[in-house]
Formats: sequence, structure tokens, C-alpha cells
Amino acid sequence: MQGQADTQQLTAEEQRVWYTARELDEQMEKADYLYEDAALQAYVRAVMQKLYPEYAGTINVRVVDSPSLNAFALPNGSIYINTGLLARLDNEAQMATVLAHEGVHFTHKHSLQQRRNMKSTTAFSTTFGMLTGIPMLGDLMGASSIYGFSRDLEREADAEGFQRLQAAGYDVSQAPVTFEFLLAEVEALDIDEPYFFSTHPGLQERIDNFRALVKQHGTAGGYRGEEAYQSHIGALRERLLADYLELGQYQSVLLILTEKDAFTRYPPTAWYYLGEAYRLRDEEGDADLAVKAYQTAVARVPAFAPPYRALGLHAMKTGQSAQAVSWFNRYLELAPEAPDRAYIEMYRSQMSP
Amino acid sequence: MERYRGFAALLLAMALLSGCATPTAKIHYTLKEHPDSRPLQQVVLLPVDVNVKEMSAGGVEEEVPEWSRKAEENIRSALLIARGSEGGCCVTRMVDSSSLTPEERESLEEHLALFNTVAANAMWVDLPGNSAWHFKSEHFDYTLGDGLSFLKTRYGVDAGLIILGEDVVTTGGRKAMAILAAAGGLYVPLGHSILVGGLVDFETGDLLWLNHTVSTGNADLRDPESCLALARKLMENYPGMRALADSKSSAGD
Amino acid sequence: MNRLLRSAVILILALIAGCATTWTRIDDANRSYQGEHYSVVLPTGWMRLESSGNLLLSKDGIDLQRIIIEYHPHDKAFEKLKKTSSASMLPSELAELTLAELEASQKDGFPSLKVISNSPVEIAGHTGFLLHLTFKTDDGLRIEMLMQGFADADGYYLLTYRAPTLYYFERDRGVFESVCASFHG
Repeated sequence: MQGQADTQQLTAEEQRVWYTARELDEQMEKADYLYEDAALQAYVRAVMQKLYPEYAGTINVRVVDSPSLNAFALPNGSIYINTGLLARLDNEAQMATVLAHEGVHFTHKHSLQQRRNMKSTTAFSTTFGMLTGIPMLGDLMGASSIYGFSRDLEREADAEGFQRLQAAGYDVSQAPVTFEFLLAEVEALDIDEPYFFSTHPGLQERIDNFRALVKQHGTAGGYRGEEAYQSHIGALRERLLADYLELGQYQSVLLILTEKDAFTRYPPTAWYYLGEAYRLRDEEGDADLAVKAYQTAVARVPAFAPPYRALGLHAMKTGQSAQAVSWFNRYLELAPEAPDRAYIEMYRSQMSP
Repeated sequence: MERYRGFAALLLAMALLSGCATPTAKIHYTLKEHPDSRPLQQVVLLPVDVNVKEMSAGGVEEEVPEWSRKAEENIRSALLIARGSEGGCCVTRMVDSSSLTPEERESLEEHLALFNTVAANAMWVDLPGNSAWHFKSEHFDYTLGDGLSFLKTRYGVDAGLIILGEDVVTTGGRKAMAILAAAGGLYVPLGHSILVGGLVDFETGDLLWLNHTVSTGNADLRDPESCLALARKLMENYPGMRALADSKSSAGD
Repeated sequence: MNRLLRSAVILILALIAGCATTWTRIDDANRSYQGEHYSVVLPTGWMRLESSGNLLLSKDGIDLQRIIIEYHPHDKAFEKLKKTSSASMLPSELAELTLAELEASQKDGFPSLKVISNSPVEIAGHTGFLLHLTFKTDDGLRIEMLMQGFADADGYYLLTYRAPTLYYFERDRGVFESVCASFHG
């Protein structure tokens, strides 16, 4: 296991938190939480390597297969970042902002500091996550590094991470932008920010911190890495849309795809997912908006099967049987192995004369 | 959100509800009806898993790995000593996970996870209030399925002994708080020691024997003598094995 | 790693043991169940727990196998999603919402959940859906689930079977299929 050789140098207390962290590493693998994509994994690791070159072999970044916006660092150097967060970021500099921040939690032993501060407390509201900074499987947001440490530790992570970002040659103006969109999403979706510390700085405070740092240190130049990021993350973006719909989170899809310039970042197949989001929202006028989106997908990507199915289902539900059969036929021609083939064949046979 | 301890919490609940009465070991109904129907010559000890944690003043538990390793060592020593001069089966070897193929290791791990589930369910039926389920204890027929039969071939043994444990050690601060709280008429939970043992027939997967023991405060699995005492309690009614109290020889084939 | 099981359902039921809910054993005399919204024939030798018109059945313990039979009025069909059902919904749409409701019940989403198959099925004279799913617990135990559901004018019905893949799932699958075959909304 990564970093195992280092444990001999650790104090007894450090060995405890390291051990608990390793347990979580094992559970994440055993419970199939990780996103298995070697190329993406290598890319994320390479960025981490740029930020923390002296920690090669100690810091180990892994991608978690989850659409939620989350990243966290463990006291043994394991750092996790969700596919959901990766897909929502715009460029490599923004990803580097998150990774640089997470790295500080490890290099500055924030879990241990937090543990020492919390250990003697008799407060019964102290949770395991608060004590150790290590989340539990099944509640990884419970000690998310975005939401989980105290004000002082988060500020340190922001400040030190910012320096790492700058030293690695990244465009630091992207640092506040990273949290600006997070805040926009939280506000638009009316999500309660799940803070576990009353002193935890809210997202707005983080944005303000970063803006102050940018002002102080200047923003001349710096690498953004938009193209490199797009080439590695592009496929993940479409997958995220599908994941959101599978979870019934159509609001997130609408938020993403109604942003300005959304379709410069998302492939034209995203029109289908936009249509599905309207269909699931099902407010007045949404059916027409959905159909328009599906038709745009068909026009832009004629060989992409799902919008044909969606158009077929809409036609079927609005009594246009012949049109529905036509759409279903095309869908099954393009996707003969479609997992929902049995449904579509059934619907088609119900409408055929 | 405290680290979840479903099984341990279940056993503690049982201990408290039963007024700390000695739990009855469960024996497979075929053995109860015909004690000699499954002569077990040799039993192998599967990887012991004991978790020793320290409870903070605020009640949060955190595993201490060196304590867990010590406790596991103590359990293995306590169990790998019977040579069965009076006949009957005894634990003579340990499964060495490193000698298994990756697929076998994965299968063993998953079966141990299944044992968790089976044992928890088998004990849940004994809870007061679940009287309608008590027939499952009287006619004990739980199984893990025959997926571990490869161990019978590999080790030339009939069955495997599974031992799980948890020991929660309280800090001085926690104990002080408990004393203060008690003076004010409040109860503050302190530590506990739990051992769960199961004997699995490798050919059928039948759980031949299942037992558990709970101590709320006096035992310490880090201490060899205390661990041996708790292990003896656990191994009462273990089928076909001489009582540990008589066993002093060390492990070896 | 400690193997002492984290089983939320077990603990919850442990806590409610001795409270108002009562398990009863199913025998020939009581295997035909007639509730307010549905009727079904239950497997003899199993145990049943009834709560608010929903049934929980098990033979060895609810984490070893369980069959859950639920009825939901349309306006309470998918509470986590805040979505309703209707009699006119397509079975594929019901399946989609059922899966989303299941995933929404997990705080971290459900990273290990995989759909093995999703197909239409006839149940209680209606065309419904059959989902076959698998996931892993955090100590690596594979669990499989079958979920059959449909909607009629009265509401949304869901029958679920859940068991570990090792030994138990296939062993008791036929019992679930018989229960579904006997179901009338």
C-alpha cells in the first residue's frame, strides 16, 4: 500500500490515523467505489505530481465514481476526487486548485491537528469524521475536504494550496472561479451546504479568500490547460449527465446545459440529455422543449440512438402511432443491443396494426 | 454520525436486555440430534479479525492498530494449543492467506463477510421481542453455502473456525466523566469486549457452532490472560473439543 | 479490518424488537393475505412483518433474504425524488423512477450499483417492469435484488427481493417468483 514504508517514521498517534485511512482505502476498492479509467487516473496523477513533486510515491490520487461534488484527502496521502467534480470543472488549473488544496490537508497533517483539538472534547456531538477527518464509507461527504475542516485549517489549505498552484505555473485566477461555480450550483439547486464545523468558512468566504490572494499575488500568465482537460474529461461530462438523470437529478442537468456556452464544453449528444431533463421536470411547456432538444440531437448526431427512442416514446404518448413506430425502428437499427430493447419492441408491437 | 457498529451494538443490546446472562451456544440441528454424525478430525483457524479501539471522552471510538494486532495474537495463542489427546477435533493450523490464489483470497474474504451477516441474523433472532423467531435457534440450520470447499482440499481439514472480536478501551477522561455522570444519576457507556466464534463445515458450509461472549468493562483483549479467559467462555460447548482450561501445549503440526 | 457487521436494518429492527411490531410465522392457515390494496399468497415457513399495509418477509433473517411488498398511493410513490406515479405511466418510466429513488436513498449515491437487466414483465394482469440489480456492501459482500413493479388506477406497487449472491439469492429466488405470480392489485 502506498506510503507503507513511511509508517515506521510516524508517531503512535499518526500510525492510528494512517491505519484508519488505509482501512477506508481498502473499503473503497472492495465496495467498487473507484472509477476505473487508467488514462484519466494517469492524467490526474500527473497534475498532482506537478503540484507536489517531492511527495511522489506518498500522495496517491484516485478518482471516485460518484456524481456528487466532492474531494477529500486522507492522512496517509490518499486523495480522492469524484467524477462529478471533475466533470464540472472547466480546465486543468481548476482541477489543480482542488488538488493543491487537498494536498495541503495531507502535508500539513490537518487530520492530526483536528484530532488533537477534538480528542479531549466531551461534546457528544463529536463524530468520528470530525475527530479524525476521515469519512466513513456510505457518507463520504461526512468529512469532505470541501466542507469538513475548521476555518483555520481550510484557510491554511487555501493559502498554501494557492502557492503550490502558482509555483507549478498554473493560472491562479482560476482558483476563485472553481468555488464560484460550486456556490452557483449549491444556490441554484437549493442544497444545504453540509458543514460540520460552525467555524467552517462558507463557500462565499472561500471565494473571497481566493480573490484576495489573486489580488495580492497577481495573475499574470499561468497555464489553464483547457484543451488538455477537455481531451481527458470530455467523455466524463456526458457520463455525468447520464448519471444525474439516473439519479433523477434533472435540475443539475438543466443547470449545466442552460449555462452560457454550455455546448462548447459538452458534446452535441448533450441535447438528448437536455431533452430528458425537460421530460423529467415535466412542467408546463417542458414536453415541447424536450422534443425540440431531441430533434436537435438527431440533427447534430444522426447516429446517436437514444433521442430516437425518446421521440418514439413522446409520439406514442401523444397518439402518433405511425411516427412512434418509425422512431422506434430507427432506434433499434442504431442500437440493436440496447438494454431496453424488450420495452421498445413491446411498445412497437402494441402500436403496430 | 458515529462510526457504525451494527453487530457490536446488537450484541451489547442483547447483553443488556438479557441482564448479562450467559448466552447459549448454537449447535447445528444435525449435531444436536446426532452428536456423532459429523466427526471432525481437524479444524483450521481462519484469519482472526479483532478490532481494539480507544473511546475518547466524547464517546468517539478509534481503532488502535497495534492493540488490534496484539489482541489477534492473543486469540491465536489461546486457540492454537489443543492437541486433543482425548480425541475429537481441535484447532491445529491457521489459514495462511498469502498461500491462496487471488481468486481464493477474494472468495474467502467474501465468505467471511457472509459469515458476518449470517451470524448477525442468527443472533438477532434471540432478541427479546423476537420470540416468533426463536424456532431458528431451536432448529439451527444456518449455512454459508459450499463455496469454501476449496479449503477442505487445500488444508485437508473438515472445518474452519472463525473468530471476530471488538474491544473498546476507555480513556481516563472518559472514565472520569462516567463517574461524574453517575453521581448525577446519568449513565455514560464505557468499554466492552466482544468475541464471536463460528465453526463452518467446509463441505456443506453449515454453521456447526456459533457463540458469542460479551464483557462490559472487565476484560481486555490486549492482555493474554484476560483474553484467554474470554476465549474460554467463548469456546464453551464447542463441539468435540477438550476444554481450553486443560490445554497448555503450543501450536504446531 | 474489522468484520463486525454494519447492518443498519438489523440494528433498527433490534431497537424496535419488543415494540408494537410483531413477526408471525406463515403457515397454511394464514398464507393468503388480503390487504386493503392487494392480495398475495405468502410462502409457508417464512416469517412476516406487516406495517401500514406493507409486508416484509424473511426465512432466515432480513439480511440473508427479504421480500418486501409495498403499496404507494400515486402522490407518495417516489418521495425522495418528489415525484408521483400514475396509471398511464409506461413500465420503462416506472423502472427509471424506481431506480432513481433507490439511488437517491444512499448518501454517496450508489457507486457499486449495477443494472444486470431491466425488462417488461406481466404482473397482476398489468405490464410492469422487472429490474435485476447488484451491488456490494462495504466489506465486499455481493448483494442481488429483483424489483417488480407496476401502477394501476389505485396506486404504485413494488415487490422487492434482496439476498447475498453467495448461496442465498438463487436458493430463494423461486419463492419470490411465486409470490409475484400470486399477486393481485
